[in-house]
Amino acid sequence: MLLNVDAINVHYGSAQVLHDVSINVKERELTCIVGRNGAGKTTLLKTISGFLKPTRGTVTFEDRTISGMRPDKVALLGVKYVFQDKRVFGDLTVRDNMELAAYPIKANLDEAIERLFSISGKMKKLIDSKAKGLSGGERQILLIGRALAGSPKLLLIDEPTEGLAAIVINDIARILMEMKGRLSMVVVEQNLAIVSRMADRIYIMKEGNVLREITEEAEIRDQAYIESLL
Amino acid sequence: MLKILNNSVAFAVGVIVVGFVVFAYSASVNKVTDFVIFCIYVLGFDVLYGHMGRISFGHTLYLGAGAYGAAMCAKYLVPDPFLAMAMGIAAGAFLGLIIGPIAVKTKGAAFALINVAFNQIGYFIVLVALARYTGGEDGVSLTFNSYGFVNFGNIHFLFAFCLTCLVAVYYMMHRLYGSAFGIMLLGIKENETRVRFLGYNTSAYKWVAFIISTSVSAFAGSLFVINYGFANPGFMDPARNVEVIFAALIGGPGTELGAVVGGTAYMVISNYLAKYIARWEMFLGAALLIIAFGFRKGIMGYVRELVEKRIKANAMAAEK
Amino acid sequence: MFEVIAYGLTIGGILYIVSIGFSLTFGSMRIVNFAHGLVYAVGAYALFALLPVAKGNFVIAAILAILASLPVSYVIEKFVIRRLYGKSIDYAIIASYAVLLIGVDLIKWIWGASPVPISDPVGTSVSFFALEIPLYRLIIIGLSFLIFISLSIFFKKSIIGKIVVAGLADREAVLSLGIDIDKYFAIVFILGSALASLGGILYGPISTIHPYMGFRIVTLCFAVVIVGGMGNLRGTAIASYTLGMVMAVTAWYWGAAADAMIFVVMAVVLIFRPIEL
Repeated sequence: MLLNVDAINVHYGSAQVLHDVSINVKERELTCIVGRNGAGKTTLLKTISGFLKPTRGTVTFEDRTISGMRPDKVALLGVKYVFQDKRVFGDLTVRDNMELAAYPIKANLDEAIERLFSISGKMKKLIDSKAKGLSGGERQILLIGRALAGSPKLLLIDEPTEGLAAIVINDIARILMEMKGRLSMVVVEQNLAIVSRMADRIYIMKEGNVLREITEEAEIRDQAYIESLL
Repeated sequence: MLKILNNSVAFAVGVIVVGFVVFAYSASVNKVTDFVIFCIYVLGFDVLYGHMGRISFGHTLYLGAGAYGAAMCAKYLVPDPFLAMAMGIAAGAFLGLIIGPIAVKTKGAAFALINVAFNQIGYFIVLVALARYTGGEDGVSLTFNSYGFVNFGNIHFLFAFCLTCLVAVYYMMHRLYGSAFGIMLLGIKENETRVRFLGYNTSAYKWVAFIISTSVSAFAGSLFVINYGFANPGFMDPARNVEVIFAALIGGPGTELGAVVGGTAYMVISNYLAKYIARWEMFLGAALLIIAFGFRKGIMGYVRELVEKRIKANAMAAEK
Repeated sequence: MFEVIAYGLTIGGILYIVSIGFSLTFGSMRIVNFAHGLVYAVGAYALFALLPVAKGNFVIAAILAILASLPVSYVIEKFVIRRLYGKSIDYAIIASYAVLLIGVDLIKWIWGASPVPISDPVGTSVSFFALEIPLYRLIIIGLSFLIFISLSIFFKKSIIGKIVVAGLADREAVLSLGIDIDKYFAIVFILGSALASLGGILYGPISTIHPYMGFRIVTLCFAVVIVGGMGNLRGTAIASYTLGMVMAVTAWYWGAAADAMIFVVMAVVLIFRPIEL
């Protein structure tokens, strides 16, 4: 078990947002979290990565309790969080963005940039452009490239295909499929077609609870079935 | 005991009245009148700070506006004290009306700064720009009309009048905070986004609260002028904002009684402590620091906590 | 006319040097750091105190004064800013205000409440288009440009600079990369404070120094930051020089209104570009 979230409860002030949420993430698996808006998916990722502290329950990564740790410390352990909304450091160049990603973990910048190019050849031309000029899909690729610097063990990705055109969504899906097997991922996704294609395990969330865990391949690949559960 | 503190306005008012009367006649009626007026000022300030969660570093603008509104009325219209008060309040309300829409869109640091800017502009206006009318640095001296026993020159009448005004404002605030409007303000202080999502126009509420705050502060300003018999730029001096901020904090932001307690505390410190400790302003700064670090709920908050602890202890003992 | 421009650029230059630190703290931590004005005043008074120690050598005294102000800003950062930042911005503002109060009173205690003059260290003037401009003022203008260029390079090319730029825009993202952004903001804070004390040092010989100069400069910094944008390096520069010119032009026609005009500009900017924090 790489990551274990054990019955966490999270509050925003006095409002409870997550109720006894538990999930397991195995090595080299791609775990998807699906659910309607407001189900608590982003809150879950934020809690795992350290941006929120659970009021009860624990998060364990590689047998080490990380709940309550600062987010930068969690990142240094090899857990990288890719935010929603495709936020990049707009005023810096693509190269600068990668430099910042490589710096804290003392990763080799050239290697990290090479890996970015191998994910998407398009980035070769954009390497010295300001990141704010990138399209939505290009930003998402940059974010993934940033997160991959230093070979992390676990990636937490929040809605990577949101707001992207169909062709671009396919690009992103292909990239994620390629990464499968090389590292572990937890992906929050609303696009069920992608989920059915790439997930090894699915958690269905609703109103701050985990409704179901789906591990049977047949059920995962059945998109209509997943949809019916939401 | 807590119930009495919480619910009985009459009790609180009684304490205030008795306290001030005793204080005035054992110390100095003139000085205590000052204290009373200052408490009204703090009550006005606390509308924004304690109840809306916005700290303004430029509130002397409104105190000064009230002072000059009253002074200009007395000097150029008719020295009728009631008209002067009305003009003072109107000046404060007017400023609140036009500055409000700009200020209430912001919070935290920005809100503090915006008020500073307007404070500085106002200060310049009364000190320099309109010096011909306001008397500049020296200000203006005034005497007000008297009507039989309504004689503001009589220190006893003045004291009684101001104390009555304090009670009136206190009661008004109490009703305000207990009303739907007051609860709305608390909601905005707590989580404005949520209130907005419930469909309320939070900006309108904040604007109204702003105007109430500036008007009450201006009212205090006009009372000061009547009390002193003069108005000078010192009323609008931006450096003096620390006085009301300190008072609101030490008394306990968010409660009417806290505003009065804090106002009295500050006045006592500045009037009496200054005699014994030469560097009392440093003391003020140090006290502010301590409050910011540990004593945030102020005196009233502390008292409330003590009383609640006692009640809990009693309840637990009763259960056994 | 040129005198006014020169004066405006001088004031603008000093405003920039002092405001940049204030703007960065404001942009990174959302704290209005009143104590920034204290470091400015400490710089000026330290200069005054150290000039005799440096046997009248202005440059040495200036360097010593900046060094003397560093511990002050370090203590402020460690014991006030860091403790309260993130927990309660309102109280951080109040605490910084309290620090300024205490500091100003200490200065009054040590050096008295009367203004203290510091003489122009250069003393000579330069003839420029049939006008005499004190060389010292030109040095200030030159220095402010130099600092602007250095900071621009720093924020564009150095890794610390890039981290800070990223952190100003998106603090959480920087954290998610494993960078302890607060440590870098602290570095920036100290840098900004050193610049503030430099500003006080440079301003000393232009006018007299007095205990309340800290309050005055902080309110002027507010205006610069509001007009130029918080944490916005280029905006702070443009706003500083613009407001410096506003002050100079206003002073030419109506001396006493110089400061107040800045706030009028600030108010106008606020009306047309209300800031949402």
